[in-house]
Amino acid sequence: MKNEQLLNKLAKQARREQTPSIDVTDDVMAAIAARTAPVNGDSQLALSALAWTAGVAVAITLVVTLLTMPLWRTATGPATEILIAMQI
Amino acid sequence: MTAATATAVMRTPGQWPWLLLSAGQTAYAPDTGGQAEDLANLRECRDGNGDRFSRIIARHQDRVAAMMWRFTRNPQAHEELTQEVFVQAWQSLGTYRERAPFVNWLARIATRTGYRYWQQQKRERSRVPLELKGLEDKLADEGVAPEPTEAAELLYSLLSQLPPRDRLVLTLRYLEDLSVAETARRTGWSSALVKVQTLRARSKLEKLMQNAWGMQR
Repeated sequence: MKNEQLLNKLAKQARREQTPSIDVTDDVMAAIAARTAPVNGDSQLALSALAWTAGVAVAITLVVTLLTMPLWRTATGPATEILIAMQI
Repeated sequence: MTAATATAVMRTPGQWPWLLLSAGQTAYAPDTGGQAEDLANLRECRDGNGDRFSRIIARHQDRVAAMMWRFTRNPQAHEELTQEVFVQAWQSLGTYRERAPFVNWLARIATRTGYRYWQQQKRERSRVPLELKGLEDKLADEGVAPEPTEAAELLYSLLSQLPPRDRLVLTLRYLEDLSVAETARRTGWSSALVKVQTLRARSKLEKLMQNAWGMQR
């Protein structure tokens, strides 16, 4: 028997297979509900608290960065310190 | 083909019931009653009555589940894939233009979902289990046919060794029993591409079959 015929015979039999019966209605509706759920009051409060915390952290970082800029300009590496000492 | 020319509606397990088969031909013919019901449910969904989608799921889940069984024979993955098809459909409801039957649109989503699953799984291609190799003699005997589950498992094992594109075209052509035109609609490929892809895939499959069954001789 040629492979083409074998394939057709296999496929014909395979099409008669009883496939598992499942019910996904509840799971799909739950997945959809989870994706469309409006943001409730508690979640909005948590989000705004998070936004404020992030904003304050950014502001503090900026202030600290500005204050440390002069120190950064005067800072020297350890190798420079050794060379200066050797010149003396 | 129109409903008037169709001679019989063949409903076999796992086959899409809206396929009207006549004299060996396969073609799509919209199930107008079901389509009207689908459209009514869809319009209510779009109007904000999301619960109506559960009716759509209830109407189509058996067919979608049967189709997704071609893409995986793992029960857990099968259920997840079936769910994914409906979630994808729900997310894409806005793109359904009501020009084609809803079932066709849903079938395309199912095909894409299954194909994407295969692409993710392609590193885990299986090898033909040795215990399935003895089937050639059984298949060669005209009067004997393997059990449907046995045949489906063997075909699944063989097809799983092909790249996803080859596997998809053969699954649709042989297991779903779709015509070239319908395979093209389902995949979004041209009819010419479907023909070429089928020939290439079948050639690869025949080599696999020769290797699988030739080794035991």
